[in-house]
Amino acid sequence: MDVRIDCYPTHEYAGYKFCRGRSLPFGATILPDGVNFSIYSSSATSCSIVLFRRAEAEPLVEIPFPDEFRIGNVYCMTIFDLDLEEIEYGYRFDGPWDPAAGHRFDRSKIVCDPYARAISGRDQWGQPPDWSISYPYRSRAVLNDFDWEGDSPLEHAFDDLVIYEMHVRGFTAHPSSGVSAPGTFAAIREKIPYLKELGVNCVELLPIFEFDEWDNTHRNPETGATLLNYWGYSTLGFFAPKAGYAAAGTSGMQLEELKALIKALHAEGIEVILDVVFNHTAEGDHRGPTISFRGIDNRAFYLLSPEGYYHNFSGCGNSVNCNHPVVRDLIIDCLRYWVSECHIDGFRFDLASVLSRDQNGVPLANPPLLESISHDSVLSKCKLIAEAWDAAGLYQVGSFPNYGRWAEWNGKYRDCIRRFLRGDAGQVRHVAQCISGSPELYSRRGPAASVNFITSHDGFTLMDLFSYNEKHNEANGENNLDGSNDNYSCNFGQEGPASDPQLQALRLRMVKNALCILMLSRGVPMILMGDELGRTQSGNNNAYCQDNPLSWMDWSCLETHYELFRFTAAMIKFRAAHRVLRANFHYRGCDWTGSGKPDIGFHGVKMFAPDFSETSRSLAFLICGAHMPTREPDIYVAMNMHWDTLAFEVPPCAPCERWKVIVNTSMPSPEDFLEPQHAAPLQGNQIIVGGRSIMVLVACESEFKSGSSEHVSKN
Amino acid sequence: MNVQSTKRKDVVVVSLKGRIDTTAAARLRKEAASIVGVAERIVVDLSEVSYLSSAGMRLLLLLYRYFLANSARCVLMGISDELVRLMSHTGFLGFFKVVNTKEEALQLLS
Repeated sequence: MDVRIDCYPTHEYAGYKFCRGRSLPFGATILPDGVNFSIYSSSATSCSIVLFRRAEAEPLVEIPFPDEFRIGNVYCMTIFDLDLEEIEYGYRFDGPWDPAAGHRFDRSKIVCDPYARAISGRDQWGQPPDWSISYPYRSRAVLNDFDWEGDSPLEHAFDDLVIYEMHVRGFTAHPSSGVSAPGTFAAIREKIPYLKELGVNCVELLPIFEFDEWDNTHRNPETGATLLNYWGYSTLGFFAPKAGYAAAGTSGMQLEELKALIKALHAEGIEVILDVVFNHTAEGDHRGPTISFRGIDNRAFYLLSPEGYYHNFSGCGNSVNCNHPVVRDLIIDCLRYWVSECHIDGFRFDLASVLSRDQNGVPLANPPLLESISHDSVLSKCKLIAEAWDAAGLYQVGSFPNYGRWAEWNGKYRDCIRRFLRGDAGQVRHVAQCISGSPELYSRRGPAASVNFITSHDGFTLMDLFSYNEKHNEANGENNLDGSNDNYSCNFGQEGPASDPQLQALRLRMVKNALCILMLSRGVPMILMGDELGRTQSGNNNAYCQDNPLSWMDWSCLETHYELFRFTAAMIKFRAAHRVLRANFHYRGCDWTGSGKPDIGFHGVKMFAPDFSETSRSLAFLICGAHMPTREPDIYVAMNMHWDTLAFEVPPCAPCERWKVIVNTSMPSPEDFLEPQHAAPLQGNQIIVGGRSIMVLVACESEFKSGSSEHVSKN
Repeated sequence: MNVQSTKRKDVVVVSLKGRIDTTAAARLRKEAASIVGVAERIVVDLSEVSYLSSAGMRLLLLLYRYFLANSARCVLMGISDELVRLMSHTGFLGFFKVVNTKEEALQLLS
């Protein structure tokens, strides 16, 4: 018996029964007895749907949409009695080939549904494809009745986050990971205890939308091996999780596996942010393949020059026409899908400045897409993070259209802290800004608008930052011309790995210094996967095509670099314990609670005398815990990026308190980080901070009821 | 797919064989009540299942919950290693009580 009174076959074609469908929602929607297919094209002259049996080269059937099945510019049809698990589908459009007018219809191509919830064709990572297949990336309809058992996005306060930027495959692909299915969503689930121990409460996944890892054309110059597109900033479909990232991808169950991962991460208090790439697609420029958008409505989906060529604001051949009303809807539908169906907690928008350009490519002050995202009902609590620049010179760090919602990758923080760390002069004044959450950039938006990072997937790893002066990208097959030249890195005397224990120790110390500053800064810290284990990419600062141990996380480093892991976890815990470090308001530099101290006071080797001069390489500061409602202990930090030892005068703490040295990066483990109960009270009012080292002191309640002699001398 | 149901004392063993895909799942859904009849303890034997699709996995969970809702206790038995992995990766395994042998099943159900 039917379930609905309006859903029964009215037409038949080659044995397939169907009726006019519903125009909304777009994509393939599963109904009790059939599947509703709906797709938009403003300029096509006709459309047909092509059905395949799974993985077979020849189609089962191609059903033209009868004229009366078009509503507006939407073609819709409900087909009955399809075995969802065995069916793949695509569309064939007819329309003008007139590039100057923006049209590039190609009747010979079958195109993928932009709303496809799954795309098959690259079901297993790295499996060499059958290049003879004419329709390689195929849309699939999938069941969405995952049982979340009460889970929902976590909605952590933004200022409480510690983000861990992770590559799904790279996290566990290394044989040392010891997981059941290396390189997959399921494997991350197995490693949740590790993330818990590290203390991060958010993972940001590099692109997980379906892409073709085989779309890279470069070869390793030494071995001749094909280099895969490992990062995947090359989207085939915005609604489809990458099958090759799922152990169950060959069973078509990548969506379930991803959801199971998100649910498990949420159960442990870890949010999931997706790195989303809306600025361009995998179709490249006019020489690129017709996969989907180009063959459906080229003029709507892409930014085109007056001659009909592709604007290239992304550096990847094309630019999505993000502020076209139809594309805007697609992007909003997509984000809503990931939040409502998959419980994603936030998004990091790759080259987000492209999203602020109008249909001619001109930056807008009030871009409709960004406004819509910012005020969207479903997206109202999710994190929005912009990579606030694009590849055509638009640089909006501090000025990205934000509607009070958006945070930014703070590229200025990255560059400033790097330069300070390596000992550049003239940075100290900017460092004070960075520590404070960059008020000069985000005065109205608060520190949580600043995602602070020193390393990301794009560039050197943290250990490489202190091991290489220059990038070493020869293995990428582009004659070392790819990747950034402005790394603000320093090898401290020898390019690459060092056998000298002193140099090794210095580099380790520099890594600790970096992590220490990151965790002490207001704003939202982001750590790059593996930096807590001293991960190296042998100087490669653009490992987008290195699907091998060069970029994979080596889990044996948990033993060899346990000291660094311990330090990182301890610093994350320290940040979590001291809310004053992550409060979502900027320091004012004055006393506004009557505590007798400013909320942050800067000092130098002499107290109250910070050296902001052009030759300065050191800075100390005292953070007043009494400026928090919870009345936290004061924290004093002395950062010495001078090569030589400096003595810092430490401001006195309250009579009932004693300073304890918690962090000293010049000390070996475990004295690089001591819990307060294991730390001895400071004697005197001076600390000796080693060259290129940081010390962190916390005012702890004195064990003596009345002030001891040392105490008196301090006051 | 082939379904066999045997009752010994108050334990019903439902043996599924072959491929559990969309078609099989649809059939099982319709026949669930009649396959089991009235039982308090149910063992679903999957040792001869060669293929379990996404729809098949969903049906297993629906069956399992149907049994529980009808006051029966239920376990899955004899799932191949490959299927255990697939069910684990996709998050389904955690919903079920799973055993390897009939003895374990009876012990768990008693």
